[in-house]
Amino acid sequence: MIIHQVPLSKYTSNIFILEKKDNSEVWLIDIGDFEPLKGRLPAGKTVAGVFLTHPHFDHIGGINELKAYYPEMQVLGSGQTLKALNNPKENLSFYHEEPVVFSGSSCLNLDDLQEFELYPSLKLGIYQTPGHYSGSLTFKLNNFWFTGDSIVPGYPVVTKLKGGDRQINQVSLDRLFGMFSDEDIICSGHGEMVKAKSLNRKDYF
Amino acid sequence: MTNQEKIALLEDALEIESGTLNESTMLSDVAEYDSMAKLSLIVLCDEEFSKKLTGEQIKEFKTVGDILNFMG
Repeated sequence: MIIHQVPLSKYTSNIFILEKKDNSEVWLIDIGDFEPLKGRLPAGKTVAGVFLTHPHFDHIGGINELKAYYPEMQVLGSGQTLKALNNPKENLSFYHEEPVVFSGSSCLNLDDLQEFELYPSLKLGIYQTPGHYSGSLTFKLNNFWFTGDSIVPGYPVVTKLKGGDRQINQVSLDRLFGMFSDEDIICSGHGEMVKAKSLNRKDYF
Repeated sequence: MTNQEKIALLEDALEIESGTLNESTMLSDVAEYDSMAKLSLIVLCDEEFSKKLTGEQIKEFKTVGDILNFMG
């Protein structure tokens, strides 16, 4: 399994590409912008789907272009996230220069503790982690955690935006830190990938 | 809406402890007034006061009172 990180200069957010060498499909975590992704997709492979950690504009900004390029792909996220895709005020894109309205097909609602089979015998774990946003999800693949903005190393979790909740965030952080092992890798929605053992729960109060 | 009520909304949007802000508070002295707080303020002005707040207007704000005046 290969994890490619695609940092976006436009919003400083990340896209992650999940690739299995002997398979012709890749999966994505978030899609803040499409142009920078195009040159990073492994040659000859198609995008099977994108998992959304939450619906803020810097994590979904390229979804329409991606869907136009890969019309068969799935869009996967929490119910709140999928609903916010076609509501620019909810996904906050209304307050930026490029409002995002996505009402495409092939959307799949994900639930807490669900497992999604990406490839034969390789499953993605799904965890609800509300706090930064009410419908935030964190995904786990092997020892890689895709936290979106539920954990951004070095920064307290932002809970003052719409859908955020400081108290609920503490519950989600307790849950996540309770599941991390030292050798796990945190692939956040912003910044570099880091080892879980480098994070201190106290920094996120 | 009174200024006190507007300040309460602002404190809530910025996740600042209630009673911290007043009209003469300098925004440069408010540690929580960062880029995310400004986005939260834009949303607040739109949803509570039906006013579109631009980045340029935000740059002009020096005190909490300037924000209250904008809210109207």
